Amino acid sequence: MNNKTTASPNQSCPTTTRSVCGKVLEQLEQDQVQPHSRMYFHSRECFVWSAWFISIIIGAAAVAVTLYISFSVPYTIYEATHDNLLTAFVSALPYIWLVIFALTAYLAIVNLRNTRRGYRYRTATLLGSSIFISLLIGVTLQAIGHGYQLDRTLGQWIDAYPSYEKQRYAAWQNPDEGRLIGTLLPYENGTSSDATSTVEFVFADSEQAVWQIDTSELRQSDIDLLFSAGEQEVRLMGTSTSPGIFKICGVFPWLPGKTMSRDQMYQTREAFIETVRTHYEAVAQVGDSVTVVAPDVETVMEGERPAGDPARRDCAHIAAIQRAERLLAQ
Amino acid sequence: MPSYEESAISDTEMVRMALREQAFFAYIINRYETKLDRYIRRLGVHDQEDRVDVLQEIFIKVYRNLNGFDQGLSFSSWIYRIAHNEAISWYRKRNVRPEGHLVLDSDDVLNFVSSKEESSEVVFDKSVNAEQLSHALEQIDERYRAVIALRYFEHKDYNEISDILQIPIGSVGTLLHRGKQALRDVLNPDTVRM
Repeated sequence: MNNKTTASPNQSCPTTTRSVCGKVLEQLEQDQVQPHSRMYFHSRECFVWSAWFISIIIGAAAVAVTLYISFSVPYTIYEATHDNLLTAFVSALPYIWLVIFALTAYLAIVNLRNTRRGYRYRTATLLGSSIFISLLIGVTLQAIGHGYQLDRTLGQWIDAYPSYEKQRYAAWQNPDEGRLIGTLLPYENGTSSDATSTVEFVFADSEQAVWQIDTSELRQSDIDLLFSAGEQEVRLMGTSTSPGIFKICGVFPWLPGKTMSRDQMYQTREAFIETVRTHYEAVAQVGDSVTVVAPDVETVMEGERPAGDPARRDCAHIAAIQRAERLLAQ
Repeated sequence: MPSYEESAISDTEMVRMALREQAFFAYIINRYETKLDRYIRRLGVHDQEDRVDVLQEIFIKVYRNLNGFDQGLSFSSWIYRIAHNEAISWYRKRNVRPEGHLVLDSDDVLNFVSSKEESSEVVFDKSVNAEQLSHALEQIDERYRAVIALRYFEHKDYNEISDILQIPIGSVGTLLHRGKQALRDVLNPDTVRM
């Protein structure tokens, strides 16, 4: 239809195509059809890019929290709570965030596809670029400590949100399995005017239950750590020998959100192994009648203690020490 | 109302004029009505009255969306995209399979069978005639038919096809290749050789 014609628009519908041209112009006039404004298209484009950006940011948050949790898995003392490193890692993985990350990656592709030129790129390109940007922002967020902050804040705002801090806290507040988290409190036995009054210590766990603590099997370095913690929370590994009494076998600081350096991790691991070795050797010295490696846990739980020095054997038979002893025995 | 030498006006200028005054939209209709009529016919809107309805819808949609025309693209690609989508939605609304009554002439067929750019392995025999080709095109997937129609019968380049069908440029070549393979499978094996 590029025939040269000179005509005003009103007469520009040629006879051969008047049916369409005429009808269209007639309908436009009759229905008072107006083009959508530029703002309409601009807003639509802005909406799509904003939705993409939000997807990227949520994806970045997922990356940051996932990285924070991955770095926070207690690799150094995993035997205290888990059978092996794999179960410690798998149970810690933030599946909710992994699902959210997958969803945001999908939404990012959908949004990019709906931008003006988005269709020109292959799905792999759109997916790869969106994931790359999310990773970049997520790594940065984690590097400046926002992975922990985000996870913690969500945990505080939303009761049902299982922040990693909540999970770790719950894992350590479990006296039946020999774990406590809380604060050491000075307890004054007698009145201040009583010349015979003595200051002893009790341990208040996170549920405000008060425990008398038995430190008879504790290494000096652990005792130092326990008593120097002040008002800071610490984690105790041990066993409840009788109601209200908790025998401590190991002490660990509670440092949520703190990422340990490689040296710190190495030192913590060495200290933990040393604690285990101390209990292992203490029992070994008592007598051959004690089965140290992989003893029958059920028997211990039922109170049928092996022979030997009664004051030096409880720690050797708590589950956490037994799990770690396998390493020493190898 | 001023008069204009219609053919001397670029598409972009026509869009500006139509946005200023609705009556100038007739120039756009004039320029594209025949092309789009032929294209939607090739896509399967065979009935003359249906095509008039579809064309009407296309041009009204074009007018409504004139401000959304991305001047980084060619107007031709943009209007073909709207036509393509409208034709597809037309026969989807009617829940019918498009009848690919392609309007092929001997030049179209010659151009098609002699093309080797997308697939050196698929070589069509020169004896394929318009009727055979039309019949075969009716039977292949609609994505392949669209890309073949645009490439060989509307003479669009890869970039334009990418803009019209809103697919990556790399996918245009892939679809063309697969489309020709599909045609090879449909056509009598005697007329095609690997």
